[in-house]
Amino acid sequence: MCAGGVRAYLNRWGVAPGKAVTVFANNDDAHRTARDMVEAGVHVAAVIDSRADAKALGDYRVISGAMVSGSSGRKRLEAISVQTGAGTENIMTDCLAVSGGWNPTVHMTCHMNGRPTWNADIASFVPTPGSIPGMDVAGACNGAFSTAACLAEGAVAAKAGLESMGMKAADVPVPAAEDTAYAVAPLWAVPGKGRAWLDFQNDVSVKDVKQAAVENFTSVEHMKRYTTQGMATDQGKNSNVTALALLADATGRGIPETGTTTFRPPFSPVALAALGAGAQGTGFAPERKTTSHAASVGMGAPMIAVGLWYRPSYFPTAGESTWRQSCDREVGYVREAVGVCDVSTLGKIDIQGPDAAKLLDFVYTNMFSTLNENRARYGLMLREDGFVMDDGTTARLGANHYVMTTTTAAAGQVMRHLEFVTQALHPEWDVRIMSVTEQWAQFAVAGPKARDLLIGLLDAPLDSEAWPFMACGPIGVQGVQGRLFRISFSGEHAYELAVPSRFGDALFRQLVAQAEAMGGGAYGMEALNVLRIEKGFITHSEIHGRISAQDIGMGRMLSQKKDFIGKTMAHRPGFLEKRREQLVGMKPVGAVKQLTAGAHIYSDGQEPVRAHDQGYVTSVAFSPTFGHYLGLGFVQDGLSRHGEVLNMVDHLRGIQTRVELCDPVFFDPEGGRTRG
Amino acid sequence: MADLIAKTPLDGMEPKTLGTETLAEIDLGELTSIAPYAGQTKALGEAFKSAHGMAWPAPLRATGKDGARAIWFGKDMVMLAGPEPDAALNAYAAMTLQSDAWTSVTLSGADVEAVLARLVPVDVSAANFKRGHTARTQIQHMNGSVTRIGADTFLLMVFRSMAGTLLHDLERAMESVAARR
Repeated sequence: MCAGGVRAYLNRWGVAPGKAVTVFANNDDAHRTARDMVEAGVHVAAVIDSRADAKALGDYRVISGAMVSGSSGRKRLEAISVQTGAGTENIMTDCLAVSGGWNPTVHMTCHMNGRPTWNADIASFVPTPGSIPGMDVAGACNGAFSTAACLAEGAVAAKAGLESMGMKAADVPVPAAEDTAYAVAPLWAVPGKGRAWLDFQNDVSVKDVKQAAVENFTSVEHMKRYTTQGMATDQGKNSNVTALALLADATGRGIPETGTTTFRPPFSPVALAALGAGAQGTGFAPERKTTSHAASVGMGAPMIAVGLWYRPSYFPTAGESTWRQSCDREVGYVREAVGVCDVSTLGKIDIQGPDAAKLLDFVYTNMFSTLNENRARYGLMLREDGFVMDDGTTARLGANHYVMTTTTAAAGQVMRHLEFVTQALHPEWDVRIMSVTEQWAQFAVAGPKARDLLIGLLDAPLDSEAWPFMACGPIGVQGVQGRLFRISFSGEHAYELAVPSRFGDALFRQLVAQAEAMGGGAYGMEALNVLRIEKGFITHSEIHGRISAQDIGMGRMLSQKKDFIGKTMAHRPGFLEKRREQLVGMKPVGAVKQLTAGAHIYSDGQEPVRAHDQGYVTSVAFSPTFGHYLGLGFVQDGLSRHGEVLNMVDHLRGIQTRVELCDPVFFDPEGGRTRG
Repeated sequence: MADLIAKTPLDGMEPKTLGTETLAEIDLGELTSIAPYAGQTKALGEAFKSAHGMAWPAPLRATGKDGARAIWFGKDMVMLAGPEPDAALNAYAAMTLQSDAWTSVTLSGADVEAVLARLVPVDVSAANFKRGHTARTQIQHMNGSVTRIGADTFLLMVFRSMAGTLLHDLERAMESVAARR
């Protein structure tokens, strides 16, 4: 064990590493280990010092001019052999502390290709002055090992540093301190047979270094790679200087001429557990909870993770034993009465300033500068490479004031995108953006009775002429200033009502109670998904990153009157060519009725293998409205193939279903229910 | 019909003391993000000072005191915490209501720096992070705002939805520091 380590066990943790300790050293400083042991009452069997003139610095036996040449014991150290001028002596010991002297921690001073300088007095390398501009080195790192020398060098360096900044330092006396001379005489290896370990971490022995030289790996860099010496996590902290000295000896050069490899961190190992800290269990990632979380859990809803958010999957009622039963019932609420769903997780970005409209026209493919105040519009956003990035509605609240809605999944990405556009592409535009996702608790109220439900809650009448489809504006909810948007993700007459988040819990409970009284109730993610598939509305299951606007039938949303991000790249030949996979609806027409997301599409008469792949299914749902499965997916030239019957094959689940391609909008394609 | 009942992000949690630290949810009053329009920072700073009696903070600084603070909140943005913003400021800046968007807590006590050192990657020691210093940085895994508002008191803000995680992470760090005393 390193002599310093033995001392640390004793002095820091009160542990005696052995009952009969021996110390093998070539310097006076290592005698501190023997002294501390004796003082603590631990038996010191002997200090073996390679220097002929070594003397005891305390009450213990010193064998000077001697070396430890062997050890014995099974599973633990029991005895050592000591080579003295008079012959070999065996000493019983269960702990051998070894010290070859100190090496300054020069790693920091070797940045910027700084190389240390050999100092024969301490038989080690010290920093080369001036190798890093502005860095002065003082103390043990500089090879000044006594406390008094450290203090003196520190005082000088501090003074020099202050003066270089134009400040004058008062004369501060350096306190008296320990000032023992550091006496060391190099001993790089004990001669003799048997393996002599050099790098304890990588099990490199003295013989390995000599063998490297024999095979002409005489440069330090080559020796290091040949032996792996110094390549463990300690980065040669214990063995580097000794290895260099041995290599110098084996190649007949001096140590300074042999040179060093690059000293670099980690000088002290850092446990991975420390880097991980509390990142496990609930500490692994932040949990984002909506204001309706407690109420939803109270209603027995299983919560599912959507990014960092938690959202209710469905709201079971008595007698229901499968999620599908709950989901079908909730879809029915929205189609026949009224449903309530927390949609607060969608990203909301406040956009203000004289150039707000310019920004929106630039990031969306379609026009927003023409949008009237108190109206919302659906928008499509492309990445620079022309693929679809996100979609959502953006509402104009005032002449220079918009609020953008993003999908839950891409909220962060869109915010980052807007930051990039406003900071890097058009910093001259006078527009300011700020996330307001967390400020508003927002609830979808959807279904034929949605208006009736809201009339009972809002402070002002909700007349249908003032609030047509895509209208929006401020509204009072029991004295609270809220926002109302007449938008729909279900295809029904629907609204989204937003109030400051502090009122979210109370409003959700009221909305649900009111809906239940009207034959409806809360609906979760499963029902939301069914409703949007029935309407052919896309999510990131569809706009998954390799999809163009044309692929989803939105080519006409690419405005020809203005420039926008992704415009040029969206008209590359590859985006326009035949056989691109385009969005279609699918319904089962054969004996097998099940559709599965992830399945692939093949033509009749073709083997279902990769080379014949015609497309794939992205979203499926059992539609209680139609009484069968519905699917959305991408099929080659799908927009012009409605009516064709193909084969859906799910290789993973072993399912084959005959499907008919159709328009992705299954339900109310004219949109009469939404607008009505 | 009953009026809507307001809930705080931590639902009115009582202050918690672990070791020498106390964690308390606080009501900062109205929160408004104020983002000066192009070339208006100076004029806004003057209007802000005359309207709210405190200086427009420089980057990484907060001004004001309990009840009315102005906290630097990122590039070209300051969070006014306390009073409703003077309507005259609309001429110089985009103002956005944020009162319900943030979980705000104070953490105070003798070992507060040791607790935060476990969660916040910036150096919050007194020598480097004095009263009135602020940073937009991480609190464990959350993006947040950290401001020193007293000798041993910090104001911490994260998204409202992450209130539970903030409580979890702070309690864990407080317990850990207390256990080592």
